[in-house]
Amino acid sequence: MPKTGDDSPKPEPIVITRADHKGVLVCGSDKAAQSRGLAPGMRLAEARSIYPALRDLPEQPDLYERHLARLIRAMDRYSPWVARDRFLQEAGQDGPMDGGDAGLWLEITGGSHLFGGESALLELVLRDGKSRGYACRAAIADTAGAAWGAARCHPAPAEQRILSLPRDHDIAAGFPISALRLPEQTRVTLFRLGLKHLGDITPMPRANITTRLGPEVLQRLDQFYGRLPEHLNFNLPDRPWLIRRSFGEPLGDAANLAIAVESMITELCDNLAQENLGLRRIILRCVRVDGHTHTITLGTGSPCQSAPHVLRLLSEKMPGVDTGFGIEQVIVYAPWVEHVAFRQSRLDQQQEETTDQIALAQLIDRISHHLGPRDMLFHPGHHASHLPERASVRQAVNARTYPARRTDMTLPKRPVRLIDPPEPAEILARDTNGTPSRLRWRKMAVDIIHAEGPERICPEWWQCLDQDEYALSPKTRDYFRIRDQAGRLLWAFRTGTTGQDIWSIHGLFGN
Amino acid sequence: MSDRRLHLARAALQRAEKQWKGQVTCLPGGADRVIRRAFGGVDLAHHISIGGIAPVGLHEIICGHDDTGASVLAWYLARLSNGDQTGKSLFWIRQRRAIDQGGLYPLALPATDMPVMMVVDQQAIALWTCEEAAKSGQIASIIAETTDYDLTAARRLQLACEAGHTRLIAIRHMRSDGKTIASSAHTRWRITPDAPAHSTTGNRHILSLIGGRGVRPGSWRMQIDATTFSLSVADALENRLPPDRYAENRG
Repeated sequence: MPKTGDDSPKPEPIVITRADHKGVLVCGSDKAAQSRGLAPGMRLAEARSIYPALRDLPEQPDLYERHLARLIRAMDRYSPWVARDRFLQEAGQDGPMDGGDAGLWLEITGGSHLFGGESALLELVLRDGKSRGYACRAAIADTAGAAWGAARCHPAPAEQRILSLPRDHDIAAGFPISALRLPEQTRVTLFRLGLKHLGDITPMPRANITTRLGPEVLQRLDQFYGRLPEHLNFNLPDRPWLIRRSFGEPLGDAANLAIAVESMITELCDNLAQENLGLRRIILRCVRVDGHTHTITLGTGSPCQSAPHVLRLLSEKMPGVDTGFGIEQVIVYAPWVEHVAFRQSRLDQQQEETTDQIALAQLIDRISHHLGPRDMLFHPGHHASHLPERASVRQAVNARTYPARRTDMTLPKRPVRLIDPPEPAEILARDTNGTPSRLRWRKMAVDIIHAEGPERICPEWWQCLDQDEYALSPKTRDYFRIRDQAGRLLWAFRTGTTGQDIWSIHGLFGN
Repeated sequence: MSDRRLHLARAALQRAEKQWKGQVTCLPGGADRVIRRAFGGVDLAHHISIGGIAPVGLHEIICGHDDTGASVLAWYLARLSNGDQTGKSLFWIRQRRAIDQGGLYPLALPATDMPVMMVVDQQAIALWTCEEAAKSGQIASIIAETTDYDLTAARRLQLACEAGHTRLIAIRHMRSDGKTIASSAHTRWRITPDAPAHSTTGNRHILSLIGGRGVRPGSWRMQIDATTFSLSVADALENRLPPDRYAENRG
């Protein structure tokens, strides 16, 4: 169901592209592009050779999936059984490929009378789709295959595409071969043999069709007429990981509450373990008899199935729960769960290491829950920046380290301690050539015994594209390694021009 | 010497031997796991009663506000081993403003061995984290920069390290009066830059073993390799001198 475009008289063709190892691939096109012979599957260079002024947009799988999920939720009002068709199934695995030709199946058996009959339901679905901005076509048939073909090939007006077999056998016989969802190669073969409609294939001997064209043609034909079943993957809503427990006698004691929470957490973790899932976030809600609710939210750094670990984290926050006149309901809800990978990922890795990783993740969780507002727990990573204070970034401890965060270049010698922000140093004396020989830093005199440098570090050029690229920026720093009278090695830098230079201390070296 | 005095002397010697053996046996793996040689081949058996640096437990580095060699020494001591690599990670806990040297710059560390880092405001959180991480046994070594703590806290950290077989290197600030608070650390170190008058290249540091349990103080002149974050004896011949002669030579 492609989104309807704007109402301009001659819309410019637009294609959706995806970059792969061979180049840029067209993976979606609008009607204007299709009318100019631009089809999904061709390379962007090939498409541009057909239409040079072609406008291309990069593919956004997340956006596509979000819109599709929203549409499925909307169709849920007509039937609880909504399935994506084959194209959308493939799109879910490998990105959308010609998703505009895909569709949704709705199992409406026994439910159409709620909407005033099949025709009224069909009209309602089409109007609903149009109001959401989609150009859609729909049909009702006895089988999924027939509905797919009727939606595309039924000669009746859009609101009257209802195919009931065997009553409408003649209409079905007039459907083109493309109504059978066959591969392109099979369709071309059938077309060359002069078999252009379903009515041409139906009377033929079945053995001959299988021998010459393979089993798929007969399989699709039988699925069309309902002689073979077709399995659809219906979209089932996620099971909420929620346990609600109400108490006839309100819990007035914190010890009783702790026992109740312990049993609920254990039950939830057991349920998760059966599905090989682990929780990443858990919400505990205690509802008092006076309606007041106390909510505790916890997060874990990695998927967790261990009830003792969750209870230990909770026990640090449970004393804050005021039972008041009693707690009548306790709800434990895991809004975020993830699959747990207990697989052995490397041949030389032992099972003990996996156990150690879980124990380390639990330690990190315990520490994370004690952090104050300004406290930080992180893995240091590298950021592509020339500026020393921006070259180091913080990463989550349990998250995987991306290659971009690893240092891929050999940096010049860097200080072991970085003073951020740099501290100003006042010039007390200069040499005859104008270079400073004595500085004042932290109210102490620093005699420059020896200096190495400079190492020039310019500001990030991509931050100041409006400036002349050959002009020296006032933010350009010349770094020097200065050894003072006490044997310390300081990392100082100079900004500004000679005579008006400003010096700052940015770090201390270990040697 | 009377029999009574001889008996008392023998009893004292026996107690001392028990205490000596007790220190070694309290270590996991016994005396075999003690790191006997470090800093490029320095034999520590002459200075530490248990025969070398204990692989687990609390070690302290006392530093001034500009002794940045302390960070390198802490890294070196945390990574020091007998060759048995555990594959566990290293934890660097820094309390803000505990040591007036700026923050640790991770890009200066060896790229293959990035630690888990933690920056906190309060000493209580820093010490609690040290204890929790040490007890867990999931961390090979912990480096902690924190403000001064008392003997009770040091003892708790020491027990936590022994429970989890973890090594804890604490970087403590030297007090203004030059004294140090009592601690239960196995060893106490100090590293200061050598004055340029005594070194031609500038890369010279004085490493001192200033205290600990069963420790005879010693002092060595060291050089630091900034790439590998290791320390080695700068002049082996000079360092063969006893500490008092060495101090005299330095003037």
